[in-house]
Amino acid sequence: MKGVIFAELIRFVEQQFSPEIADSMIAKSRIESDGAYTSVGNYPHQEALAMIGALAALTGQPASALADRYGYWLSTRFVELYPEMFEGYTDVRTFLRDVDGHHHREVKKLYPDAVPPSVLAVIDGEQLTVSYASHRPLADVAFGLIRGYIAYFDDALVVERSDAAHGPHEARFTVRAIDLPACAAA
Amino acid sequence: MTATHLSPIQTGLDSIEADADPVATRIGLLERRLARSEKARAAAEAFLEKKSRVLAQANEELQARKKDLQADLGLRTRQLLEAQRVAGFGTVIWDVRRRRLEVSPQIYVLFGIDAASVDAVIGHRQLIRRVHAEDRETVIDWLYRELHNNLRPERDHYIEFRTRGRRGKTGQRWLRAMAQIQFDNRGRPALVLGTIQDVTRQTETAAEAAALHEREQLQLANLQALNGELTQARENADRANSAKSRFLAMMSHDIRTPLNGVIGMLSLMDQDTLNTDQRRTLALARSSGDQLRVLLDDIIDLARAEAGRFQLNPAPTDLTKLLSDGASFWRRVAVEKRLTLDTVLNLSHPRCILADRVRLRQLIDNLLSNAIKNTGDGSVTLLAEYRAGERLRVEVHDTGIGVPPNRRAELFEDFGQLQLPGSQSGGAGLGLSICRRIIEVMGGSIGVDDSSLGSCFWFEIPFTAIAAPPTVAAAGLRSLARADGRALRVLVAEDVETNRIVVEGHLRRLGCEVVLVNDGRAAVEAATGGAFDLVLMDMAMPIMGGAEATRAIRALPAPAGQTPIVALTAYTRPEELAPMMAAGAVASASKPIVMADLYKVMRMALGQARAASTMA
Repeated sequence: MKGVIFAELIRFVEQQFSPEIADSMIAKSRIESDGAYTSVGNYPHQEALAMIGALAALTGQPASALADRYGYWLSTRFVELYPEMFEGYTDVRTFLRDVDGHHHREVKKLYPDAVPPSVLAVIDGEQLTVSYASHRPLADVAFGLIRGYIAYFDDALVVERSDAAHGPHEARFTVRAIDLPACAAA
Repeated sequence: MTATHLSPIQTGLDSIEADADPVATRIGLLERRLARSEKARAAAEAFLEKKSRVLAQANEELQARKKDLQADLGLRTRQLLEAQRVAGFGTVIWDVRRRRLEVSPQIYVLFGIDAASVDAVIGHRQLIRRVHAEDRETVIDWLYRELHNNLRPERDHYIEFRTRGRRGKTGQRWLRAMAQIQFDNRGRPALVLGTIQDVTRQTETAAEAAALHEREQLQLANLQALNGELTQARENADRANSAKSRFLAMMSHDIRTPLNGVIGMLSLMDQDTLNTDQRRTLALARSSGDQLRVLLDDIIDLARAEAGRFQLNPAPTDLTKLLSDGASFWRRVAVEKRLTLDTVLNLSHPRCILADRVRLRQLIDNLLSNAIKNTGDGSVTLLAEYRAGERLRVEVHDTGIGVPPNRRAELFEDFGQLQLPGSQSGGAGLGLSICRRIIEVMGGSIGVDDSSLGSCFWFEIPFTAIAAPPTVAAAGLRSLARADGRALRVLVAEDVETNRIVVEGHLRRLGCEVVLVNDGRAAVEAATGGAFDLVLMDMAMPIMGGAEATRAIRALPAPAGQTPIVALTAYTRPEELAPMMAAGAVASASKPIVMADLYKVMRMALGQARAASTMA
């Protein structure tokens, strides 16, 4: 997994909790890299899972909730780090539809060794269904990211998650309008 | 990255100032963060360095590839432009929004524009100005329609127009422009991709082909009309020729019949006792009759030759005998002119050849009579010998006036008798031309050369040698009788009285018993119960013709039905004799009747009949 995800995870803990907790999390997770991540490097995703596990132990919060929260926070960082990714998009559904075909392709161009998750987005009328599948059990992060994007585009939408049998390796997210009459009026 | 990491350090330092107690803890934390940052930076730098090397290498490869591609592109561009030049077409790209025109060099050539006179960018107006004034509006309309009429982008559209010539019509071209419009995502025309091709040659060729086709049609019609006329003319000529042939056949018969009467009567008179003056008068009359018959035969022969109907009837021929007989006949004439006629015949092997005796004799007679006629003093010599390649050469030398070399060809033309000083005129001048035609049919050659004292007329013909036929025992004319010694009973069917008298005279002199009838039906009636040994049957008779009568006799029960029948006719063409032979005649004798010929034919017919009855 790309180093940016790990570096941003440490930054997330430092900012949202404290530098001490981040330090403790790194020490506690006993990861090989010892938390020295570069955004251009590749690292085993197990290190991220270990860090989230350690954070859960340190804070007493569920790991899945922490992962979801990290995903939401990460979406705002992506907006800061990769503004060109959001250029030309005015709504979250179009943006999400292009995640697999466009954004992940761009990632592959920059980092040929990257293995982004498979994200299949289908727009059916007003409703968007996103299917997530990855060898990494990071469906929670993906859920947070989607919520973050919805917030970024300020769409009056709600996202529902239905997990598949394979656990956090797969998930389906359904994005639809909160208030259809209000939407129509707008 | 550095700025983001400094901020927590600053925060840490601030904390140290604010609270000294956990200072050591903070310092430891910051040191660990710093170590992680250093480590990450080192990793990032190593990564970047590695990446830079990879990039530099990739860049190098790309530069090389770019160079290759540029070279390739340059080559392909040159090839494309060359292809355009050869094919006489150019390309045009019109950027509608930027109003920019891009053309390939061939466009300048096609529109007759001096490339050097054009600024860096050529305008579409410059091209339009070069379009022929009569076509300009059409071209502009076409362009407008192409751009504005919501045309389907995948469809090609074209127009053909002329360019202006440089001076008058010189340099004027026919061009075909094709356009494909590319539209932007709002459906507005963005680019016009066009090709312009020189179709002058095709256009002119098409026009020429149309003109050529028209000319051909006209010529064809003329030819058809001409062909029709020719066909009509040929049919007319065929009809005329056919009529002429029929006329000749009729004339031949009609003239020969009274002539035969005259000659026959004269030959009968010859046997009677006459005084010297009477004999001379009779001889002159006979000679005139013979001349008239020869002339008649010549005219008929010429007509046949003209109609391409000369037919040869080859038969086993004893050449020495044929030539000797000819010489003997003409020797009498020669002696009267106090000329000598010598023969030198070297024809012992083969003795017998396959030849048309009548025609061969005709050749000899013609050459000998000419030689005698044109020789006033001296001699005529007949020479004959075989030449290599189965060819017979016959020469007739005379000591006459000779023929100048420049006039020899005329001799062999129709009616080509030369009027030379000292030459004897007489005859119709048909003899040598008929000889030439006979020789042509025989596949030989004929000519005249200088002889030591006069002329040498010669001919050469190919021949086929055959084994000599068994010799017929020479028999006296009066020995024609039945095996039991009784006189032969001969039935003669002849409608012309003079002919009847002639034939009767000859037959009686041969010791035959003669029964005469006037027509075919009477002949059949007579033959039915007459017990005849031979029938002489004329062909053309009233009531019933010879052929029909022959068939009727042949249908009678034996022995009457087996009586040998000899056709007696003035017709001499083989195809005219055919009906008689088909009806059952065994031989033919030609009128005027010569006793020796009649004797031979009768002997042959009787011999055949006896052989047939012996075998039966």
